[in-house]
Amino acid sequence: MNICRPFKPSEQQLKVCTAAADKLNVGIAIIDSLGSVVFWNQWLKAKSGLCCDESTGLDFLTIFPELKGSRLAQAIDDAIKHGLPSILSQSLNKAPLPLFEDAADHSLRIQQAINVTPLEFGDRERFCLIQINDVSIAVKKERLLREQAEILRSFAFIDSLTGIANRRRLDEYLADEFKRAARSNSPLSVIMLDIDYFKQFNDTYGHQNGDFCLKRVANAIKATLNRPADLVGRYGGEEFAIILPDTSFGGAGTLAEEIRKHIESLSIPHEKSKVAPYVTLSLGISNVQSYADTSDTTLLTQADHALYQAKTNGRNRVEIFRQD
Amino acid sequence: MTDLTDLQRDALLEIFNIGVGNAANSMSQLINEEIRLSVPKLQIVLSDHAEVIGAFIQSQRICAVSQNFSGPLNARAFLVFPEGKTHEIVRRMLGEMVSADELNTMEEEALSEIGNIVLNACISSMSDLLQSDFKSSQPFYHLGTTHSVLAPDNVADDQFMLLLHIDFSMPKEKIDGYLIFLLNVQSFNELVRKVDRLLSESVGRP
Repeated sequence: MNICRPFKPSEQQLKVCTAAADKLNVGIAIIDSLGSVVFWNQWLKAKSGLCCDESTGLDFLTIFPELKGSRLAQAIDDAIKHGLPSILSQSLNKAPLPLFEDAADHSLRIQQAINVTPLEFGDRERFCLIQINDVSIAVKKERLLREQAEILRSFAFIDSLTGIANRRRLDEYLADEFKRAARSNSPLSVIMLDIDYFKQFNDTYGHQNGDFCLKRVANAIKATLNRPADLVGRYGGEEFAIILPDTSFGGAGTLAEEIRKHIESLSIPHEKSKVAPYVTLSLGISNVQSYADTSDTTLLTQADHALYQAKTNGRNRVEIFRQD
Repeated sequence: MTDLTDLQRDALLEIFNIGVGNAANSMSQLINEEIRLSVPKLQIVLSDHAEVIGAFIQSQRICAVSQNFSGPLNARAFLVFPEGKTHEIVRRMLGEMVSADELNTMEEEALSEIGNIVLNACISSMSDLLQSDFKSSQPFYHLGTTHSVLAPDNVADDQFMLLLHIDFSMPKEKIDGYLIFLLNVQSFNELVRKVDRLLSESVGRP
């Protein structure tokens, strides 16, 4: 069988091809070497609102006058004069053709990705094939995915119970703030705190009330902070940490005392506590004395040490880390 | 043999400067900002001289757009940027409002189009001056080491590389890019012959 015999389409084959092109879900236009539209499919007619066959045979730039001198016109020229293909990306050309999802509503153009390809038939005249893809949905999906990724990313930094920062966020924030403070040699303080006799609280009132207590404490601390750079996070269990950029020992001490009093004033009942009949906090403060011999992690350890001091000194109090 | 005379070199540089000049017009129109492109330097090396290319581009990793051309001579043409430099160009083309995330997703298609504009313009200008047409593939985007992008496995050893330095001048910014044409010996000789004919025709013109 000679599969290379020259192909001469029958009338029926032509009809089938035209019908298929009309059913395609992309826009197709074929332009001859003089710039006239030889064929354009149903999709393109529908989206442009130019429904009739009258436009066939017309100059492409007469049908779409706004394209004169445009990148698309240049691409068509390149295809016909030089036989070169072009792509018009959605990024650089939002919507070159006036195409609309709803022919009656011309407020929003379909976003387009366009391919311009030369069509050659031996030595004869060169044609130009324009394919138009509707990328509006892809663009919308991309945006949605990006937004969701952003939300997921923020979840990764939030403690699911209390809604404040989690330990990962705290660690990263402290690392960043430590570097920044070291560069500018500005003060940096950390407060570590936890709820006194929290195990007994849980045993007495149950875990659900325990969770509720953690949420109230978290919100109360958050409400006490009034500078955007101050960050409170749940460090684990009933332990919280607060990072205070540009804050001296004195400033951190005042704030810690304020938080302690604030929780006291909430008067959350805690009958098994050995310090008070309500929920109280113990707090420890550390502050960078010299950036040369401190790191972000030692700052946390020192605050934890001070917190331990507050516990051994009787709880419901604030202690400051002191180098022995 | 890989040496060109000064005259041949100048003629080639002129062809490419006309091409990138046209590409600059198209690009300026796309972003409503003045972009100027020029090709100040041209060099010819054997394609296996990876170190020469590395030194020319000054980066081990590159971002490139390629198109295969066939016709009076066959070539694979690349527009190349050192990795990381493409961000600035695409940012300028897309506008300041675009977020870093968006930039990443758009970079590949935007660069493919920029490559397509520049490469088509160079080939058009070649085809005008050589008075014959080329066929071309669609643009193809690459990201990788200089070696993996420019020396794909099936390339014969006896290949020449036409290395052209291309300046992207935008307001407040200048970015170095490169145009690279991979040609085999026959195509290279054909190119030189065409350039010589062009030169002999222009002799005696006013």
